[in-house]
Amino acid sequence: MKRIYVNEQWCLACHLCEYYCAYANSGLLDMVQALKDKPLHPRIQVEQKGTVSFAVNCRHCSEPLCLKSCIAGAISQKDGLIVIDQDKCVGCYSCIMACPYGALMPSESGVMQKCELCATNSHGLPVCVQGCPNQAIVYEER
Amino acid sequence: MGINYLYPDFEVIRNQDRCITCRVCERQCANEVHSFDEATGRMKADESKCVNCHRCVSLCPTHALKIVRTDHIFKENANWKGEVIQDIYRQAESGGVLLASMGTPKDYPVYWDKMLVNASQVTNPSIDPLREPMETRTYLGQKASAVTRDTNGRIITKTAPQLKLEIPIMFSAMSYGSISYNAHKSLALAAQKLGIYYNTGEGGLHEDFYQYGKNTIVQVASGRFGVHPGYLNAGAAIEIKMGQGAKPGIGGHLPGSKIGEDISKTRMIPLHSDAISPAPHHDIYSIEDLRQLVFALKEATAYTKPVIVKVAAVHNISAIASGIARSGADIIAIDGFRGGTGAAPARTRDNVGIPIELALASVDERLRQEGIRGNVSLVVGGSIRSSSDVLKAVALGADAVYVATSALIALGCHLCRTCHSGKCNWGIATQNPELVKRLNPEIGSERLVNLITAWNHELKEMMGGMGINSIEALRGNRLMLRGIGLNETELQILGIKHAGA
Amino acid sequence: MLAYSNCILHGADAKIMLLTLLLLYVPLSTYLQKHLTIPSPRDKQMHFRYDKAYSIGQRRPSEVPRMREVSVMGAFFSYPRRRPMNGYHQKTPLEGEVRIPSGCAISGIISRSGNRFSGREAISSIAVMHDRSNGLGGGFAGYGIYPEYADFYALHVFYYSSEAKRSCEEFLEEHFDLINLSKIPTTKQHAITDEPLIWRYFVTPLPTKLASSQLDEKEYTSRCVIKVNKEIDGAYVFSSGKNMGVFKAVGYPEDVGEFYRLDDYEGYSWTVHGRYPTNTPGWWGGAHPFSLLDYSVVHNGEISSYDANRRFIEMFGYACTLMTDTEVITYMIDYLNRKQGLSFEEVAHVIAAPFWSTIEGKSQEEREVYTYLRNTFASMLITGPFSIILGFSGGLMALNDRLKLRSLVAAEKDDRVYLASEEAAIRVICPEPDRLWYPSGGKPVIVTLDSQQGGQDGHQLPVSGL
Repeated sequence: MKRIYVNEQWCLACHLCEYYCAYANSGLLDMVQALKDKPLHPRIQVEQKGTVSFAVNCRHCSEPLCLKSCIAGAISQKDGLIVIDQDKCVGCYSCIMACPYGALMPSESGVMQKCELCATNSHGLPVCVQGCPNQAIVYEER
Repeated sequence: MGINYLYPDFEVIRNQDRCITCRVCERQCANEVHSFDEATGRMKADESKCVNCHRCVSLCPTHALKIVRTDHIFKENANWKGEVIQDIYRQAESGGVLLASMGTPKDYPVYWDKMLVNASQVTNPSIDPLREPMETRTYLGQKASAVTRDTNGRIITKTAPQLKLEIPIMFSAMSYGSISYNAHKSLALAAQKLGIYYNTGEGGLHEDFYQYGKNTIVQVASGRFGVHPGYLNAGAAIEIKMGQGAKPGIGGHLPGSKIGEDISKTRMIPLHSDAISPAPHHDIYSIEDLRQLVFALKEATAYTKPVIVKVAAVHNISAIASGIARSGADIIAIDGFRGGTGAAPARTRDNVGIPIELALASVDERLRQEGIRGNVSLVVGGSIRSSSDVLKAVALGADAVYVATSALIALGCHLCRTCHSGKCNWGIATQNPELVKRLNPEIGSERLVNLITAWNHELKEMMGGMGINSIEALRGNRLMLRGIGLNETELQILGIKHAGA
Repeated sequence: MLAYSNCILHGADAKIMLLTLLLLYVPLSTYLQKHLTIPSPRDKQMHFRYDKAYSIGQRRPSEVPRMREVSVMGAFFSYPRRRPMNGYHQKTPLEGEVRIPSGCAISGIISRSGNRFSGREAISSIAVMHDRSNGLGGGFAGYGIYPEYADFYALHVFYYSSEAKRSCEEFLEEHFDLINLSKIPTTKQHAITDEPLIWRYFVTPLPTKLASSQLDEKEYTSRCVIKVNKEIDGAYVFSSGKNMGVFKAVGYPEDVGEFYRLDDYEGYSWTVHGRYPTNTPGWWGGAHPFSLLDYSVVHNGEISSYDANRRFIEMFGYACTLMTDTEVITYMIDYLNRKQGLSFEEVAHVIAAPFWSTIEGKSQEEREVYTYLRNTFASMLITGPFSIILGFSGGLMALNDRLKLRSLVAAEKDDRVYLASEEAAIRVICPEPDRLWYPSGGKPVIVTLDSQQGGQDGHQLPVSGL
C-alpha cells in the first residue's frame, strides 16, 4: 500500500504542508476563504527542534492501536487505510492516548480527525505531497 | 545610523485580502524581509533587505505577494542615472570595490538575437525528427590529420582522447564553494543521465562526487585548489582555466566565511581562510608556458584525458586561440563577457571582454584560415540562453556549448545577482546548511535533465527544418544564418550575410 | 540592345555597365518573357527526335531560350565573373556569388571489361530525362577517351577573352610541357549559344618545376588548375584528368552532346548531367560534371551541409569559387581518396556516414572504423538530398544521401553497369537488363574495371552495394 513518508533531510520547516492539508479538508474551493483569519486544524504537523524538522501524520499502521482503543467503533481500516467516522466519534481521546506518533488530533468541532491520505476529500493525491516544495514528503509504496 | 542615502530598490506588495499569515515568506527569507506583527496580526516587510529573489513569491500558497521596482526616482538625468548615483553613494560609504554576481545586466547587443536561421523550402526537403533519425552526438578532441594504416591496410583507429557528448551542451565550471554541495550534485547527476559533462570549477572535487568521474571535467585554475593526482585522474577531461568571461584578468575569490569544513578539505586550504586565486597562473606568463602545463597535465594522466584550455573572450581572442591550438590542448573553451560569476568586481564584469558571438566567429575563422581547426574543438559559453542560441553557436562554428546560468535558473535561480552575499534563498550559491538543503538534488537533476532534453528536442526540430540530420553538418555552416539589423562590420566578423541577401 | 550588349562585351567600365543594366532591366525582362517561349521551325523538327520520350504536359526543347536574348545575358554574366556587383539591379548574380540550388538528372554507364563506346548512349539516356533539367546546364565526362595521350593531363579550358587565353597559356607554358594543343571540335547548335573559346591541352609537368615544388605530380597539377581558376580572369580549366575529359555547356544535355560531337569519342565509361538550377547562372563553368584531376562528379540534389563542408575543405588549399554542391563534393572526394588514401567505400562512409544507431549494431572492428571515420572527418558529412555519380580512372561510384532523398537506379547487363536518376533512362538504352535495383541511401555502388581488380580497391566486388 502507498503511504506518506517524510524525509527530514529535505524538510525546510516551511509548514506549507499544514496549510495545504487544512485547506484540502475544509471542503472549500478557495484557500483564502478556507484559512484566512481562522484557527488552523491540519492533519499533518511539522515537528521541529533546532535545525531538524519533519512532518508527522498518520502512518496507517497495519495493526493500528487507535482502532483497538476506540470505544465508539468510529475508527475502521479498509484496504490499509484508517479512517474515522466523525459521526460516531464521541471525543473520548482514547485514540490520542493510544497513538504512539501523535497522529490524531481533535478537529474544530471537537471530534477526532486524522490523515486519510486525501482519499476522502476531493484532492486525489495527498495535497501535502503535492505542495511540498522540496519532496520532503513523498507518497509511495515501500 | 547617520544619513541613509540608499532607498530600497524594490517594494514588497502584499495583498492583505489574500494573505493567510501562514508565514512561509518569513520562514523562507534568509534576508529577513518578512515578519509577523503580533499587534496587528498581519505580515509586514522590511524592503531595504529585499534582493528580489522571488523565494517568498514562489512559495506563497495564495499568491498574495509580488515584488515591484520602486517608483522612487532621482531627478531625471540621461547621464547621471539613478544606478550611477547609487554606486557612488555605496563607494563613498564603503571605500571598496563594488561587487556583483552573475552576468552583466547592461544593455549590450546580444548577437544571438540578431541572427535568423534558415529552413528548407522546395529545393530540398525538411526532415521530421519524429520520423527520421536526427543526430546530435558530438566528439570533442583533436582530430587525426592523416589516416594511418597497419601492415594489413587496416585503418588504425586509435585517436587522441575524446569526449563523447550525446548532446552538444555541457555544464560549465562552477566551483564547489561558489555553489552548494546540492547544486553540484544536481549537475553531476544530470550530466550522468544526459550523457554529457559537468565541470568542477576551481574548487576541487568533493570525495562524494568521484563516482560521477566519467561525466566530470576537473578544472585546474591559478589557485590550484584541490588539485592532486587523484583529482586529475578522477575526471574525463582536465580544464585549465586561464580566464572567465565575467572577469577577464582576475582570479576567483571565495571569502573565508564560505570555507567550511567540507570546502576546506576539498580545496585543501585552511578552514575559514579566503580562497583567492591569483590573477594569472604564476607558471604561465606566456604561450610556451601554457604548453608546458598542458603537457604536464597530460603526463600526469598518461595522455588518457583531453586537456581543455578555457579563456575569456578578449580583444585579440583569435590570436590567443591560434596559440592555444598549437599548444597541445585538445579543446578550447571561450567564455564571453556576458557570462556569469559567483562574485566579480562590477566594473570588470560590466566593461571587460567581448561578446561570445563575435569571439567565436573570429576564432573559428582564424583557425580555419590557418588550417588548424581540426587540432582543437571549440566550446563556447557566456550566456547561452536557449536551444536557438546553441544552434546559432554551432552554425557559427562551435563544437559544443557551455551553459551555467541557464542551468542555475533551471535549479531555481531567479537572477537576483546577490550570490556574493552567500544568502541564496534557493540553496544554490550558499554554504549555509539550512539554505543548502532547500535544493533537493533529486528535483534539481530532474529539472536539469528536462531542460537539456527540451533544448535537444528544439535543436533537432530546427535542424530538421534546415534539412540537416546530423549536428556535424550544422557546424560552421554559416550559410544557415542571416543577420538582422547588423552593420557591415558586424556581418563581416560574424561571416554571415544580411537577411534578404 | 545589341549596341548595349557589344559595349558590355568589350568591357566598358563598371559604371556604364551598371547604368546600362539599370536602363535595360525593365525592357529586357519583358522582352525576354515575351520571346522566350516562341517556338521556331527547327524546334518542330526536333519534336520527332524526342517525341517518344515525352509524356503529355512535359516541356519540350522548343523552350530553349532563343539566341539573341540570351546573348545579352550570357555575355554579361559569364565574362567578368569576379567583378564585384554592388547596387540594386543585379537580378541574376553570377555563379560563385550566390549559392544556386538545382535539381538535376544524372546518368552513368560503364563497361567493366573496358570496351570503349561512344557518347551516344549517354546522350540517349539523358534525353529521356529532359524534364529534369531546364536548359541551364548539361555535360558529360568520358573515361578512356584519349588513349593516345594517356600519360598526359588533358586540360579542357574555357576562355572568355583572348587576353585570358594568352595569360593562361603563358602560365601553362611556365609550368608544363605542352604536348598538344587544339580547339575542342564543336558543331554549332541552335540551342547552344555564347560559347567561349574552348581549348584542349595535353600537358605534363615540367620536371624541374615539379622537382622544385616538392609536390607529387597530381598535387602539382591540381594546384596549378586551382590557381588558374582562381586567379586568371576569364580562363577556367574544367577538365584536368588523364585519359578522360569533361564536356559541358549551358543548354540541355542532349544538345551539349551534339555540340561537342561526342559520337567521335570512345570511352569505357561515361557520366552525364542535366541541370535545373533555380536561378540563371548562365555560366558554362557552372555546368556539371565538376572535375578535378581524374575525378568528375555529376550530382543531383541540394546539400544542406554545404557551408560546413566548404569551410572545412577550404582549409586544405581548395577554393570553392563556384559555390556549387558539386564542386565541394569533388574536392572532398579528392581530399579523402587522393590525399588521405581512403578507398571509395571508406569515402562513402565519411560523406554519407551511417547513423550512429547503425554503427552501434556492427561488429566491434567495423564499429571502431566507422566511428573513427565519422569522428575524424565529421565536417565532411553531407546532409540533405543528393545522388551522385563519381567518375574516376577505372570506375564509377554512385552514392545516395543516407535518407535516400533523391532517386537513383542501378542496372547490370553483361559487362555493362548502368546508373541513372530514373529507370526510364536506363531502359531506353538497355531495355532488358539482367538485374535492376534501387541502391539504399548511403550504400555506395562501386564499379571498377575487371582489369583493375586487385588494384587500389581490390577488396571490393565488381559491383558492391547491393
